[in-house]
Amino acid sequence: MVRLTAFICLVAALLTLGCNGARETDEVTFVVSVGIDAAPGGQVNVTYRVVKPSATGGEGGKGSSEASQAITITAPSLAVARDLLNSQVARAPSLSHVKVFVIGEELARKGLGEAIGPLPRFREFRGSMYIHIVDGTTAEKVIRANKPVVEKLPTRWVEGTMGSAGETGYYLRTFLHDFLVRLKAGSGSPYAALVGINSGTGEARLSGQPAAGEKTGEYLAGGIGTRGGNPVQMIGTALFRGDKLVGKLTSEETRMLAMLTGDFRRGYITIQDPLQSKSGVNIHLRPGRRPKIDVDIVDGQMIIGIDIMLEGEVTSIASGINYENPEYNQKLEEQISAVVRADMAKMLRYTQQVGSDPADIGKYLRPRFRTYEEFRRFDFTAKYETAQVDVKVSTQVRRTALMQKTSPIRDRH
Amino acid sequence: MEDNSLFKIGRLLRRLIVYRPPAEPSRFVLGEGFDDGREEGTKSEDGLKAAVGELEALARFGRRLELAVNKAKTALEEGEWAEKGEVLKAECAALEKQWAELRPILLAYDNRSENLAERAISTSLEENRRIIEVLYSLPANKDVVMRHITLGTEPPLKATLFFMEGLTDGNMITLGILQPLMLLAGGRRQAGGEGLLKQISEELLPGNQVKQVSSFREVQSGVNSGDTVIFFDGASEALLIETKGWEHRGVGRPMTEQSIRGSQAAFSENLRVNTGLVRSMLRATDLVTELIPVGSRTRMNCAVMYLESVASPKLVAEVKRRISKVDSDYLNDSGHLEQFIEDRFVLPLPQSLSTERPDRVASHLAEGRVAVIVEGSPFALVMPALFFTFFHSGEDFSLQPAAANMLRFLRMFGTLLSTVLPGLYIALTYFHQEALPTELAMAIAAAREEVPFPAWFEILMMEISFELIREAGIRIPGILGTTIGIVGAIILGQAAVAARIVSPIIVILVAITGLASSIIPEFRMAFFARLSRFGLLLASVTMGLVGLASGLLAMTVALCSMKSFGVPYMVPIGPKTVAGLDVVTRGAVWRRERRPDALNPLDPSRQADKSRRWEKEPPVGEGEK
Repeated sequence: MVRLTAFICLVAALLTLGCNGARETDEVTFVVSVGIDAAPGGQVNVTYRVVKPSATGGEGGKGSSEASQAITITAPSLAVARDLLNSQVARAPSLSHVKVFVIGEELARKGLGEAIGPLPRFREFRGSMYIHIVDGTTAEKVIRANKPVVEKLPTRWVEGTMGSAGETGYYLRTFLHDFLVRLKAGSGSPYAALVGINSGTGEARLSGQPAAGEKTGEYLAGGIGTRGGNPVQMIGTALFRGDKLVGKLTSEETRMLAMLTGDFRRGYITIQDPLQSKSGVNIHLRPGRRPKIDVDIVDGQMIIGIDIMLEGEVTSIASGINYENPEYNQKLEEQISAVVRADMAKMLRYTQQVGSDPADIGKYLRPRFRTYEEFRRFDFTAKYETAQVDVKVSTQVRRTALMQKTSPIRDRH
Repeated sequence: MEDNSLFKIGRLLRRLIVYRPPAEPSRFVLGEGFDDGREEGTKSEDGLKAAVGELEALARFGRRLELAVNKAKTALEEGEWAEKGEVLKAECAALEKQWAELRPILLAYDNRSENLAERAISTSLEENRRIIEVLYSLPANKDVVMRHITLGTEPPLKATLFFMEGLTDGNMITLGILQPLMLLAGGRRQAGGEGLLKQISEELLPGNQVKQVSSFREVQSGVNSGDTVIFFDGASEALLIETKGWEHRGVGRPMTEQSIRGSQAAFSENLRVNTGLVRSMLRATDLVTELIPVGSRTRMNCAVMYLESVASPKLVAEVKRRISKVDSDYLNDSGHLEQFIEDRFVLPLPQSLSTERPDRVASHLAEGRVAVIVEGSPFALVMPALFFTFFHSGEDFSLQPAAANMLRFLRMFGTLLSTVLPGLYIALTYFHQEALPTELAMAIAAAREEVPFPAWFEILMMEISFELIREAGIRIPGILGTTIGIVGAIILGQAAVAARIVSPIIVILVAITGLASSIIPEFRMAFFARLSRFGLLLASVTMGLVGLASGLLAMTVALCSMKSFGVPYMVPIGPKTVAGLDVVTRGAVWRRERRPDALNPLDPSRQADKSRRWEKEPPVGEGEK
């Protein structure tokens, strides 16, 4: 009798508790990226990139254009747009595989709070999604224009670019989770990677003057001169104050930001030859240690001390001057330090101007307050804008790659 | 108040929820025994003094005897026997009297030596028989045969033969020992004392190897390896005659437990051959084979084998009790007997190890387990068996630890795969699509695009066809065997996918599951994996990962509550005990100092702490320089 009752209870539980949550894979539409743009009348244009599984799997497969399609819906909010999407595609939309939220510049300047603020409440939301801000145009255009050269699905492109952010430091890996956290709690301002569309003419659009002694150009997304390939480019960083887009960091500035946050892994820098200003020297840079950041308050004035140590490896010396020699080596080190110091100061000055703290300097100040409320009352942003910044950079060129010395080219005059 | 239906429901719920101890109050538990250790003999100083006094008395007697013999010798040589005869006779009488007084001391010495195996052979046939009976646990041990004969010499000479059934060749004993001794010895004159054995071995025994031995140690090593020993009345030595004749190699290779290294012999249908095979691999004096007949209509002999100095007496008694209390008319297989004697099961898991390999039985006996061999069955049962025992194979200890451990992990992993994989797949694709990498989710979705059935039905269909093929493969006559391969390949292969009845990923899944369940060395354990797979699949279909986890949890609870012959099934993990380097992983052979703690063996130590003693010594040749 007891066993029978237990069995009946079990079967009843199985039949009534579970099932309704189950979904076959062919009952679901997988969305892989979501674009959000401002639309007239306080509405939003939501662009979904929807995958057609039959075109991705199987033998051979077709092009990426067929494997997924972009659908744009105008709706008052994200949640409504998702419901409306269900009316267009036959299967229930699933956002659990969304890789990236792309936000149009216009909406970003208006403020993102209402659009993405409620996201964490949603079950299919995952912190490991990325957030990108569009430079100049709309998210819809970026999502529609994105045709990866190598990857079949745009998701792979997103994961690939974000994963290789550490290779150059020209853009940062920006998780939606980090963005939301900075939006609501703690210190530091939100920031996100910039994406843009390239004209495809091969004409470079420089977005700033490089520091004295530097030979690298500064770019924003879409500004790299390319022909062919994917028109969508990712370079630079979008800066926020509160939930509003207030400024953009160029490629070099983003790298400086990466050095401050500790996200900088490696990257090449071309500087002017200290002894022969026409030529350049190419250095492979790595952080020597974690950056040391010290924040102090003297008479109500915030003083930010930054100490960065870099290690370098010479990868090219166009002039052939023997920088491998310790005396010359020191000149080279000083040149690198000067360039990085200037770039860093420039970047920080810009963030002070726009009142955004992407490097999270506030984190280093917080231990000086007893409670979080006290810190909040301090009005960090206002103080940050007027803070004095001292940057110290030291560089050690430790290796000279595979060559000990440049031998001059014979018969060259 | 009236007893209405509400109360009834309340009581029912109470009965469901409130824990009650199991209804069987006296479940057999192999508890930790405190009296299992053997007492060490202690000798006091006083005892030593007394012993010295006794020895001195014996020495005095010896000197006096020597003197008397010398006197008699000189008297005979010089022809003075007539004069001194009377004196010498009196001397002899006195000596005999003294010997009568001293003899108990000598006997006491003999009896006091604790290790019977170290004793010298006595001139008394009765005494020798008694020692053999103690050494070989007679009459319980049915493997040892004792044969009393009388030689037709003048006067008749009594003798006793001992040999091990199953290890010896019966024809050789009958024709080569008994026949010459009993028939040809007639009328011959008996030479006295020491000459007797020499005469018998030189004149009467046609055996190719005959050896004179004087200690029970030699007797044991001979008998344990298939020789026959003959004690003669009045002789302080015995004859060891080579009669080895156990079944070997001819008995066939293991069919279900093949191994690359280790022994290649398997049990056959003959009980005595089987016990002989075990004995030939474990040549221990105290390896006892008891025969217990089972079945009221057919008295089928069941051999219970154990090492008396190692196996827990409680365990042995319990196994014997259960077998002797089986009340059935007919028993035809060890699998049949197993079900009669095992504990009530919660999950259909094997509770004793069933093996066709004598070497596995021998190694388990050496650890303190009990083996049961049923007449007519080529599979021996070893008990108690623990959960982890079923993932061991016979050759594990013939391999290097690294190799053996890799195989063991592979087996555990295979078991996990074969139970969980279909359920996990369903739980993930139905409830937790976000847990899959996007490309994999798309690949699954793409593969399922044109299949009209739900995924769980696909899995069920393929699993059932797989089980059909497996069963048919066993039942089909050998000549048609290839048919199964072809049909199976068609059903489980490309055709089902091409017909869009199942998606290719399911085929892979079922194939992996099938392969993984074949990796488990024990067929019954593999069967449990096959069964539980369906249960977990059901739980996953209805409740996703929660269902899968609940199913596994319920299984763990059931496993931990099980016992095999009084030993918790999940030892040494639940309850936690000393693992002894042979559970999931196995350690080096020379580091296994202790027997499994859970078996409660009489002698917990297997080998010395430093079993590689040669490492302590300088290499050969080094000391000479």
